[in-house]
Amino acid sequence: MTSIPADAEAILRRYRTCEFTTFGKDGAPSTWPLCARWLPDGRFLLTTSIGLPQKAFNIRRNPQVSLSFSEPTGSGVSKPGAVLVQGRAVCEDRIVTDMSSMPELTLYFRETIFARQPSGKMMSSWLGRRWMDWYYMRLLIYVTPERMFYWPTRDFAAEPQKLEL
Amino acid sequence: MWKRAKKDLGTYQEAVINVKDAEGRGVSVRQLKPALDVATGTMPVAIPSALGAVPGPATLLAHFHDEKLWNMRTMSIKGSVEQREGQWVFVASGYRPASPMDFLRGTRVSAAKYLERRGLPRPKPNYEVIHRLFAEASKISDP
Repeated sequence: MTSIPADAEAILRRYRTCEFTTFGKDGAPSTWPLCARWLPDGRFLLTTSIGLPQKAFNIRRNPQVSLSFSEPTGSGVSKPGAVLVQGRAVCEDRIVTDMSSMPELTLYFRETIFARQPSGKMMSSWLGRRWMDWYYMRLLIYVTPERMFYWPTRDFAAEPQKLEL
Repeated sequence: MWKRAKKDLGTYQEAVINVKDAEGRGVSVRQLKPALDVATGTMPVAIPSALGAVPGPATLLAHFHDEKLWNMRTMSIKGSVEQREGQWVFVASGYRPASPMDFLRGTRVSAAKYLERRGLPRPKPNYEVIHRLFAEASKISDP
């Protein structure tokens, strides 16, 4: 095992989305593209709207999740490989509507979402408020990583390196 | 039977196969140039052995966003993975094409149900904060 290389860190910090997997009642994986922020304590913060609550239900039943950072578009990463994070998630029932109510949530929305997605402003326009007010009714998902695998290149058929956490 | 799934998948250059390992952990591997067989709904997939994937339920996800994290679209095919002659094969079992109207209707209904089941009033997002954070975000040059 190797510690997390700088190029893998860049992937975790800069890729715009990850493929986030939870498991349904029947044990089948459910995967959605989601924005994740790597926190200073090593956990990942993600959010979902109560309009798309299935991930939250799945996590409360089975906390095993994975985050695959494998889509480099828009990231500016010079060595675009991939990182697979496997871990356990918690998702409280609390609905958050004030994005400044927690420092890490403020950073998540300001830096991880809004700065990278300027057109997202339409979600708080008159039309967005009228038809998609649920978008900003958020549940917080915290993932504690247990294992990570790293592909230094986009040859995903190659064996990945297992990273030391 | 898989004509529509193949056609929709063909609009993406890549897809991600999502399965489990023996301990129930999620395993995801990006596939380059995914091509579903129309007649059988199958597709060979590459899953490195270090990940310890096991045969069982699987999802094939394809998604797109542009450089500004916009113009997003996604599709997902349900199925399973199995090993055939030492190679992993995805076997599709279900596909429902995405519908923007269904999405909009579905999310509104889901949000209303989420609140109703908990006896909660509809909360009002703090849009002042959102607008302030957007203004601050616009000054970040390399997010």
